[in-house]
Amino acid sequence: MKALVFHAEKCIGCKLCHLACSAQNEGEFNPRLARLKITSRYSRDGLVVNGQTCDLCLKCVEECPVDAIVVKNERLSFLDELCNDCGICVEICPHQVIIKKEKGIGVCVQCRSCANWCPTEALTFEEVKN
Amino acid sequence: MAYTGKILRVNLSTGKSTTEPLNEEWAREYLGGKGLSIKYLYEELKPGLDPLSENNKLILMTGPLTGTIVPNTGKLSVAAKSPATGTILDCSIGGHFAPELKYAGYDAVIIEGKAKSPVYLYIEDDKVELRSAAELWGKGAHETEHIITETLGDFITMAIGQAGENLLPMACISSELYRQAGRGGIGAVMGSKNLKAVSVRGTGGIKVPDIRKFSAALNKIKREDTMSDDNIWAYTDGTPNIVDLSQDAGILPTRNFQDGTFEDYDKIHSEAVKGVLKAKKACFACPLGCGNYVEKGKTMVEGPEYETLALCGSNCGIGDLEAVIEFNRLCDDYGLDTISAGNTVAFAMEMTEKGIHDFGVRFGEAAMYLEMPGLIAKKEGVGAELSRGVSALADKYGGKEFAMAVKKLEIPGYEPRGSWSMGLAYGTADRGACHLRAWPAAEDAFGDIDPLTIDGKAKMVIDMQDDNSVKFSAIFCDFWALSTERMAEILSLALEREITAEELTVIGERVYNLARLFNEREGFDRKDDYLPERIYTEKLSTGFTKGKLLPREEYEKMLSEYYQLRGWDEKGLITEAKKKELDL
Amino acid sequence: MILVTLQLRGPLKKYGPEAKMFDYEIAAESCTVRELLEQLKVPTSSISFIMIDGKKADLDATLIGGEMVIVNPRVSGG
Repeated sequence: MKALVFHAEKCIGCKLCHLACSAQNEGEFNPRLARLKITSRYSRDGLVVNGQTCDLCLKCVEECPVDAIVVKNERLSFLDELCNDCGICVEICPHQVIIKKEKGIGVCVQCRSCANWCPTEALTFEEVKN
Repeated sequence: MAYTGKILRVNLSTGKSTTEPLNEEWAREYLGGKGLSIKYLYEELKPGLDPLSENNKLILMTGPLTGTIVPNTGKLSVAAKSPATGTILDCSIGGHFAPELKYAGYDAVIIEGKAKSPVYLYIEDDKVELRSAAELWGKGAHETEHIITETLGDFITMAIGQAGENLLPMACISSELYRQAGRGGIGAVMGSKNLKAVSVRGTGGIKVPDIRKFSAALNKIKREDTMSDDNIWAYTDGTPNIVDLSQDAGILPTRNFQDGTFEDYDKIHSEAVKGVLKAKKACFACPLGCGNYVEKGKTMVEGPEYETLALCGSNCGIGDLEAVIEFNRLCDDYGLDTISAGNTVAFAMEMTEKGIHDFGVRFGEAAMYLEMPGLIAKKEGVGAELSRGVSALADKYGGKEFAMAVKKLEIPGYEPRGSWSMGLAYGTADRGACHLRAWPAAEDAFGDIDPLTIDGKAKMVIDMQDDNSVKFSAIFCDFWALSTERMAEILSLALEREITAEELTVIGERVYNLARLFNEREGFDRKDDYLPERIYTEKLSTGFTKGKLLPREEYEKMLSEYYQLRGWDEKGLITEAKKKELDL
Repeated sequence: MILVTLQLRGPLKKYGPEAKMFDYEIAAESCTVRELLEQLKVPTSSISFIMIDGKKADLDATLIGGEMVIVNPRVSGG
């Protein structure tokens, strides 16, 4: 199975990945609805680049009490009609990249829109080590 | 819909904020950004008002594409009447503030009046508050941002430093530490309103029709156009690239514009900056990432940009990159425009060396040079006088021939004696000497057109001014050299109506003329469109432009041709016919 | 066979050996700048201006060997 890998040294902090994700999966340009979290900010200690992406650890699949998150064709799939809004997946995701919405959640579905948009190849799609 | 349709109006005197609908007729005629903010200011400001009084207004204006995936649309226009010049003033700040404002639900914020004590403006979607800035007042822009971030978290902030608080004509606004709304004293407008910072967080989103198809189309445009050879210099080098170009063309300002080449240019050129580069940094939605985050010794900055390497480097005789980086960092923190600060220090250096007045700084001496930003921003010691800028200094102490400013705004990094078109660009720019209204050096000094003739230059400058006017109203960043056709194509997709390149060209001309009309109302005309005496009378001494100057008679002819082609009269005033043609 | 010293500046470096300056051999008695750039596959649209031995030159200037040629990239802003 392949998942996203983030290369911090190449990231320029443009947020095009967030925009591509929310456009593809939420139908609007809204970085806060993206299923990844890439930040590049100046702190008191200088530039801090941080990237959290889904690495197909599958904890959300294991923990969902109603099996609303499944693996289908080597990708995550969210079955919104089964979701009971318990929010367990949002909490246990080790990368905090599952977004809680008014109704339901959003997971990374390995669509690669972010990697397709990244201008510097800071996001690649590679075989996961499981 | 790409616009939110909503404007936030904040009255600092009453402490109240209201929202109102975006004026849709004006949005059609001016798009957003530069044009729309100038329109609002033209309609709402009374002529003759004091830019540092509570009657001035500060407008933060996004564009129709702000917050979308369209490349290079992440900038914000910041506009007011200029404290430095008394003209209309629109600045452009990068970073990530503009989209956050759009996501909060606003196309623009109009800030009026004056707070009774220091405040910062807090905007979180519908929640708008004026919070006390008592703890922040007196601190640099950087410390201010850090404190607010530690308090509020996930907000984007723009702030003034001590320079803005002290109402300096060269005070700027900083955001994310190293991005600025730089020129004309825009920071002093905030300072005069007791407004220390604006912090915004927005959780909304922007929709466009057929968003997946739109995104796919824009990804293709990003690859084939935005990231083409024409523009990729911004990623591979950033603006320090231009140091080599200017040195070769003999237009690198050196020692207060006494010369056009600098013997130590190769200590501050692109290769030197790359040697200390830690990371590239982009504004929101920009694939080019022109920002160069550098560290050298104990100092760091995202920069230095070309203007800083020129005006604070070669122009001060400083061929020491670490010193320029530190000077840059200090300016960004104190909230000083590096173009004006560099020019002011250079003027002080020449005055000192010529024995006209001892300001205690000399060309090439880094120690005192590095004291300057702090002294100037805090108006301490010799900084108290220097804080006033070169024009005021020359009025008081002499040296008028080499006080390098137009309409009291200090000159950017291109020597007009080596690029006559730049002279015209400086003379006719709306906010005083500016290289961002027209940048014809690209075609003559840096191209194959003869830089030392007036032939065709008036038309070139006009076309560039109009192109940039519509570009900065739609809000595309300068560094994507996109055609008007491409702009029209993208705007049509986003706004669901057919917009043509011709329509955009008219908007560009309209915006530029409206800016001129604002200035006319303030009493500006031909007499204000001239360059410092040095340009007309002193010959450069080294390099490619050795022996060159811009003769005044040639400048006069070029200026007259400019007015004629613009449809203005001999005094530089817009004719009734032209006003009618552009619906002004 | 003639030799010129070349500086491809900024993003144009990628058309050469990625060095600040390098010597380049031209298999002819002389050649124009245009021909030289064609050999290196540098698109002329990516160029701002050219200097030969410290003087501005155009694409049709002839090289006869021993020149220092600087090729500057296009830039848009400042």
